[in-house]
Amino acid sequence: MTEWSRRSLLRVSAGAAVAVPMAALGSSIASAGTPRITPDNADYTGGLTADEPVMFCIHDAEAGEVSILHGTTEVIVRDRQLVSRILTAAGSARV
Amino acid sequence: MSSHREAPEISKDPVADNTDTYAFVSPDRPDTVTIISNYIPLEDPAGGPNFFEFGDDVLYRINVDNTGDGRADVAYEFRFTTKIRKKDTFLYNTGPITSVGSDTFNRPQTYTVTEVRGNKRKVLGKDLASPPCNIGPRSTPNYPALADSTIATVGDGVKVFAGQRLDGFYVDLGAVFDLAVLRPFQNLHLIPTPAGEPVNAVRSFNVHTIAIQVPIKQLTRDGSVPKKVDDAKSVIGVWASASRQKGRYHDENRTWGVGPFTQVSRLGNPLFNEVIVPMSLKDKWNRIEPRRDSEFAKYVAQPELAKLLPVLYPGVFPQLAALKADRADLLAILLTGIPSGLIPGFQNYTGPTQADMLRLNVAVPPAADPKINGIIGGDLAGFPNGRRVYDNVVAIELRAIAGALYPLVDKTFTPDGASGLLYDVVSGDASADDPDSLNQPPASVSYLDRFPYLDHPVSGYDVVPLSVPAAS
Repeated sequence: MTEWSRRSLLRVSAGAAVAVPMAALGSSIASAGTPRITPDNADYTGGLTADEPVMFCIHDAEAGEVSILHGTTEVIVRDRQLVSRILTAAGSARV
Repeated sequence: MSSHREAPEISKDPVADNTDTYAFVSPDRPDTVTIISNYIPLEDPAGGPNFFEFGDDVLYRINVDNTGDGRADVAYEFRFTTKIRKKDTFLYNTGPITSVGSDTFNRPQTYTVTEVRGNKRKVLGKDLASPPCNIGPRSTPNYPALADSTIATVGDGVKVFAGQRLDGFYVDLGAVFDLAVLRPFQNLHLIPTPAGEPVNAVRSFNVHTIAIQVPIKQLTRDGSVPKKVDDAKSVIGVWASASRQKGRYHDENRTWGVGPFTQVSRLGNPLFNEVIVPMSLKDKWNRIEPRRDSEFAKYVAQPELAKLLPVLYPGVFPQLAALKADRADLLAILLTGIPSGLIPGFQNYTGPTQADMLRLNVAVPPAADPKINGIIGGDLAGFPNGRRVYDNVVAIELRAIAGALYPLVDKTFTPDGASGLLYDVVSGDASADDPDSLNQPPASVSYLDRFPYLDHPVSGYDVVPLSVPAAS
């Protein structure tokens, strides 16, 4: 069974200079709309709760966007390299 | 139905499915407004051993707009927590449940109520008890006392209740979804059969109710208690909703919700999504806020049902068949409220923003002699001035769609005679020959005269399924 955890996400994205700072973003940002992060503007010091799952969804591979869900927040990460690595890990073709 | 199973997606998720929303000035506490939101349609009372309950993973919300922009200015959020007291039994209860604290109640549910005003959140009550379902005389003896014990006062004069109730809505479902048959008039249908007696198909089904009673001054835009009906501040818009987290994750031990809450169901005016919105758009309608309802205004202006009635009842609705103009009457009733000057002594206009909400003018006092046909029946305290638990919303909306109220916006229009007589479920001795008899609550439903106004649920033990032979 696939484990949609922080660890697996970070493993997939290792080397892509992308991590997921959901907790660091805080609810005030989330409440203003879904935060969007690119490799150029992200602060990658995460603060995830270890015992809660992280889910991600690629609904626009062409745009290189990953929607990452954790707690009650959603972060949109824009990183084609990360998307490519995730698709490769999932057994799909690279974009 | 009002909103029971009204859209494809939410019909698969009954725990989050809004079925009816009510908003009215409390008859026994006229300085307050009672708002009721029902969920979980058509609960078979005998549906055990896992009886019905609210979803721990659902965010239930009652929304109030007091500025007319289709956005919530005040909201009340309800979140539930379920426990299992004895993990080694399959039983819902291991003996009579005499109080919500009984050890014999094996699956107690508690809830938290949070008031939201803009960015400010205030927990009004936590660890509030929800009563068990009504199972039967051995498991839930003296159910009324058990349920009443869970009515809580929280905050500044706010009452809350969350638990199972008898569904107060009434409709002849089996007929109305059989090509819009109204049994009393089915001899006039395109596929005629002899006229028959209506059947309340919702009778003896329960729902899960969230009810809140709030001082009026806590809901109006300026904290006042308006006394003038024509005062814009006297009108509030009300709708209820349910939201789920975007992601859901299962493993062998548990189910997780992940991500922000997104709306999956909502309900303001009864039947809006059910009979106005096309099937292909119903799920979208459930997911957006009322402030975006101008997207659906064209379906109100040219309602499909108004076109069907003359076809299904040939020769009965010639005036309606000839009415081609946009339905300014329905646009007002459902999307903006009724402006001053159309109905003497009444308005519930909230401004030009088109939004599906119940619109309640809190300056209209409760009726001493309520009429279930509301404003159409000469009772300004009833639907579409908010909605009371016993209002005959099916008949009112049928008549409105058939053109009975169109003269309000076009005095040259003469409605078809049938438009003012249409009814569905009424009291047993009612007759179209006696219009006032159609203004009394049907005998097949009962209500309380006090909070939470919807009656105690019928127990599974007491319900006898209909013994109708299967069609050959």
